[in-house]
Amino acid sequence: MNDNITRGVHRILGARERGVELRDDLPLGPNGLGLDSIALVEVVLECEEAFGVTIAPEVLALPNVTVGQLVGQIRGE
Amino acid sequence: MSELDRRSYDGAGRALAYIAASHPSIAYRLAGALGAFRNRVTRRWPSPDEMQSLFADRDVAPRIAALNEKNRLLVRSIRRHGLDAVRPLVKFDATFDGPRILAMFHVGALHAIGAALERLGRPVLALRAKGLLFTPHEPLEIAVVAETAGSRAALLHRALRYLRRGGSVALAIDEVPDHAIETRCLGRTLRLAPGAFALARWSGVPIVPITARWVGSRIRVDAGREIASPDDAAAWLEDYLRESPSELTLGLLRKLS
Repeated sequence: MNDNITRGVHRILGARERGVELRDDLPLGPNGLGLDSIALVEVVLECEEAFGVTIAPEVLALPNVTVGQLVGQIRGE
Repeated sequence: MSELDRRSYDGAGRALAYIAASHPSIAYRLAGALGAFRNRVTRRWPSPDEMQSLFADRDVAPRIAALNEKNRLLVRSIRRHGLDAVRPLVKFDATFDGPRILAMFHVGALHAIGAALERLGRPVLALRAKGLLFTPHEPLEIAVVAETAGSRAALLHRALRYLRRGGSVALAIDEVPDHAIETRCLGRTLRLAPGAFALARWSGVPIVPITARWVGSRIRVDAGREIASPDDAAAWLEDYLRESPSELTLGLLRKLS
């Protein structure tokens, strides 16, 4: 998982939540990074710009979407 | 008001919903009279004292009560007859030369705005906090805002795409699902939802307020000037209410703390 996409996502998330250990199973929202709805969209927009991909809005609606799921979406998995 | 009086009052409201589609002029005028009468008897919903503190005008209380009773009938009528019963009552002449974020407040005949949005001539996505009152017609699409931060984020993301494709987005900005921006309005705190302002920042699309005002038994929908920030939105709303205090709804009154 230590590839460019993972590192890029970690960099984007790390800029917001410093000092948090980013794991694949860490939720982006409650019980994880605690990002609110606005911050979640901003992370997705930054990822879209950084990786030149389009992320389906439905990904954010997944229950407790995690760092790994976001990385997977960018990879097109 | 006794339980018997309350039942009679509610019964009268339900009876008016039966005729609201076929005889709207009679039904809405009676509803307004009923609301004003109830306010004069009970001196509540809203209280003259509270209106004195907000507008320095005790006499506005029965007028607000009349408007709120009309709004109750409007919602009942839409539930019973669908938006068909409301479309002929709504006048809307505004045109836009591009996409807009249409900011709604809980003032006036908010529930009639859907009938105006259908006439915008471009796709409109309306975000609604509660379940659907009616089945929308193209080009209006309605999405219900969900409970979780993730679902709300997904809806905001979808709304952003809508704006980027040239559509407009309509949402009530005084409906606060999670964190809020505190502003001041009429000397009180008004919490505004950040979604509309974030959409404007991400998309560059301007925010304009849209309101529906009762004119007798008809409804005029108007768009206001562009809003630059949450404080500007609260200032615009305060100006609107100071000019037309009877447009205050009980829903908004409860939000002013």
